[in-house]
Amino acid sequence: MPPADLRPHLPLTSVAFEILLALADGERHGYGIMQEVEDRTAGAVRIRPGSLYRAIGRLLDAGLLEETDERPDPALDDERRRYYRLTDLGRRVAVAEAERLSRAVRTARSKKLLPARHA
Amino acid sequence: MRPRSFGDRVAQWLLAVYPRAFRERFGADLLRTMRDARRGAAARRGRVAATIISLIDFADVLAGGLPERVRAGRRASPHTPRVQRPLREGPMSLFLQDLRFAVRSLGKQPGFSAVVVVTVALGVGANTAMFGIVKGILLEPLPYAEPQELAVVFQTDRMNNTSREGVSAPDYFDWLERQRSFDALAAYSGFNPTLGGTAGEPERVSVSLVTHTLFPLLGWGAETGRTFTPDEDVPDGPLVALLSHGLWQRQFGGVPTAIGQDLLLDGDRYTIVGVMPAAFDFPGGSDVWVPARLGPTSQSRGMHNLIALGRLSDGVPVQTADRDMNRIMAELEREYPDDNVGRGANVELLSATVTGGVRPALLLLMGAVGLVLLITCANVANLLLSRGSARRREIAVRAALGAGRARLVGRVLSESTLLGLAGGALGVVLAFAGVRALRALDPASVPRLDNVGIDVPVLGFALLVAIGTGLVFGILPAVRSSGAPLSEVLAEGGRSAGGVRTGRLRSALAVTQVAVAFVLVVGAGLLIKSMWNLMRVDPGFRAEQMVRLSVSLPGARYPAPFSEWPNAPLVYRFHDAVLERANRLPYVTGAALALNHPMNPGWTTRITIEGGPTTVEEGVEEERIRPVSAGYFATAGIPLRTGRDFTSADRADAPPVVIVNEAFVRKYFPHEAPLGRQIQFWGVMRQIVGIAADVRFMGLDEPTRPAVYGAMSQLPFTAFDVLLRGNAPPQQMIDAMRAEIHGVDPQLAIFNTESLEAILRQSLGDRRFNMILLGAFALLALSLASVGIYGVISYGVSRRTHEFGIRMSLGADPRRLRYHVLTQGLRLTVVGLAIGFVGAIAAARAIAGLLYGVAAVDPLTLVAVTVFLCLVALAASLLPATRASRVDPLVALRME
Repeated sequence: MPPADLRPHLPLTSVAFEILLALADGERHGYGIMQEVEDRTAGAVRIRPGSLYRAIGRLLDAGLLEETDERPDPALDDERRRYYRLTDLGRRVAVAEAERLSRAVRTARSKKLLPARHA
Repeated sequence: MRPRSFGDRVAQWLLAVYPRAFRERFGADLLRTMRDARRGAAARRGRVAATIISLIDFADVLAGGLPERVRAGRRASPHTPRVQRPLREGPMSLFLQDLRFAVRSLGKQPGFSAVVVVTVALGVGANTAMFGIVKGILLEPLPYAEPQELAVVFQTDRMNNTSREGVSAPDYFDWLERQRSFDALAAYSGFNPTLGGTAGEPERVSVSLVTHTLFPLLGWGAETGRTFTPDEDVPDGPLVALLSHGLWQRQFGGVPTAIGQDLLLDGDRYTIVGVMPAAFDFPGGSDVWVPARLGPTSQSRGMHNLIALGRLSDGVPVQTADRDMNRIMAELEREYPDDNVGRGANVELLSATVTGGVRPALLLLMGAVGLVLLITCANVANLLLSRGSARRREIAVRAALGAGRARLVGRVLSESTLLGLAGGALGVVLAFAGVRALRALDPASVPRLDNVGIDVPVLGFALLVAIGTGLVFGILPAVRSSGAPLSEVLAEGGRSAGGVRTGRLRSALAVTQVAVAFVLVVGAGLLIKSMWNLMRVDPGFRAEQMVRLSVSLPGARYPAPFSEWPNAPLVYRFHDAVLERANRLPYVTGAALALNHPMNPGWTTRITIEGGPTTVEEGVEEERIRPVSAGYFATAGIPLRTGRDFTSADRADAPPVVIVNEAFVRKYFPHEAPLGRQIQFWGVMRQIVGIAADVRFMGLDEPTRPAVYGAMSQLPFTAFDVLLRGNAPPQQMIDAMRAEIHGVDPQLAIFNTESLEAILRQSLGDRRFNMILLGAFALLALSLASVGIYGVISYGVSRRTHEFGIRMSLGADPRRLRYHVLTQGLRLTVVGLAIGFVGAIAAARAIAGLLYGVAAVDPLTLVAVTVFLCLVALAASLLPATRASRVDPLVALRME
């Protein structure tokens, strides 16, 4: 059972969880989040811009993300972009969600839905 | 961020679906990210993939707009307790929820839903069918390579004021050398020989003589074998032929070994070199193509029998080509004044030539059907408004319980969209049936009708119209019914039915319907009156109980050489034998031969009058020459005013004689007696021996032109109509006459067998087509509008049941109440009529070109339609009026 203050945020939608994961190792702008998700999942998951910003809006409202000032991305061009990063709450929600999922995986194993892991 | 590319603009435009707060917060970032994503995808996966990804992204942005608005709506009303929702609720589940809700609530009122669905189906069906027709005939490119570059090069004739004349072979070859506007030119003409060497009934085929350049010009090759080579297309080239797919199947069983075999056309032996694909049909109806085998000197310059087709050079507009060709024609007129006096050029896009004649009528009908859709929308909006009024309490309660306005609007809209889609589906079924019925009308003068059908783009159109209709008729009631605060609605008590504003809106919608219906009914009325006038036009001959059969004598067996003209004993012998056998048939009361039947305009030739001008410069004109046999006037029922008919004594060796019509007399002998005067054409002086009454051979809607009837017994024509009048059914006469002709010559092909009444009917085919379509639309508009009036009045009555009850209990006269309600309906109608009157006068100008014998602003039609619409409106208000007068005061008061 996650702590009471995290419970209203759980479970996360898959888009929201992917965003939190993408920001786990540092701040990114919108396209950076899309790229990270696409690269990490080898193209299996692609977040579309519309869904991305709607989810970002909700995560910001819920206090899981915070936005930083606009600044250019040297890798792209000199246009200014807004960057996002996890809040403390966001990080804890992400952890809780990961634990929830890993518990689900353990249950699936014990019920033989998944093969047992060989270390 | 400033939008830069097209994609940026689309994205920016799509953002409008989001609430303002969202746009301000994330708009610029979202646009930037979308552009980054587009660029990234293009770099990594190529442009095609990037385009597809962008399209999906656009759809995703669009789909997110509504839930975002709903969310904004929820946040904007903080005093309503916010129900805790999991973040998980995506747009899809919201949409499905709305859909489920819509299906459920519509299912509860099957009668209402059915009325709306059928109304929408009528509107969408009519529009889809009409769009199918317009698309098939006007919008779809002609089936040739780069059809927009294809142009027909006609000659014009200032003498006769004609603009679509053919070109002679010598002129054509001069064009080839001098023109600067076309990449290529081709020319063609045709003839109708009898196909020989076939089993059974001889077949007459349509053969096109084409220059070898025609096929590459149109971008078509042979299906099997090949098209023509340049060395086959020279004056003494080999006789080769290309078969149409149909003839190949019919006569050669579709076997490839047909290539290399012989094809007998009027006894001449052609070698088959190829077969054209089934879809190739140029010039329309060709069974066989053979090379034109023309040279610069192979025909006289005065014989303008070729139609020229050109492919415009890159970037050359048709106007430039027209100037270029007119420049050449001015040169040719100076160089060859005898043959080219008065001749110019007229370059038209091929698409304009093919569809130009029907374009205005079709666009007009498309406009008319758009008006029908407008009425449909107004009607359904009205229905939904009345339903919305009934549901105001439910909606107000929902709003009070925390449903955001956006969400409520979404719900009502999802209902109307669902209704629109259901109506659209039914409408497509109606459109299928409609297009089928219209194709069955088969007006010969409407081109490309076989290209008309309901295909995927037309279905897409239907879908768009259905959804658009759903949104248009849904948005007003949705916004209207979701805005009222609960207190207001509840305060209305049991009489809650909408309020004054909604009542006015509904009245305005009904007025719109009446106005639009008036315009359509007046238009239809004018077309019907034109048709009525045309059907009463005296054609100048009696078409009933008359049939014709066309015969074409092969030159090999019926020689009529020009050098011997007019001596051709075998041809005359055939003429006489056929007439003799025809007159022996028991039920035949008259038989004659004619080069052109009475409804065929025939062609013109330059004539000179004895003592009149002799050169074109002096004013010699071309007139219509109509060779006929003795007995033609009696058979066709054309009165001879003075003089005599042709007789068996008018042989080739007797003095040449002619009969002229009254129009000819009016033009050339206004003050003198024409009998005995001489006129000259085809190089021979001929004496006028009779005057015949005028016949409308140019068409029922065209005045008669001057005509000269020549004697078939002095003019050995080998292709002509056999005309019969008799007291037997047309088909029986045709079958008997066919046997008699084959009794004279069993190898002849007999074609164009039909009654003259059918010819007369067909000559009005396109008018009937327009009339039936506009009439159907008007009828549809009228019934929808009467439902609309009924709806408004009946709604008003139900809203005032309480009031009527009190009046009744105070002793009001039921008849006066009924009268009161009736005048209410009439008042709406009169306002609608006044607006419609202005619209009808504007619209009448648009259809002036389609009218005959009736002015565009026709008082009688306007008055008749006004009275008619008033009666319809009265009938529509009668039922609610009666209901008002029967209100039981006790029941009405109990509703409190």
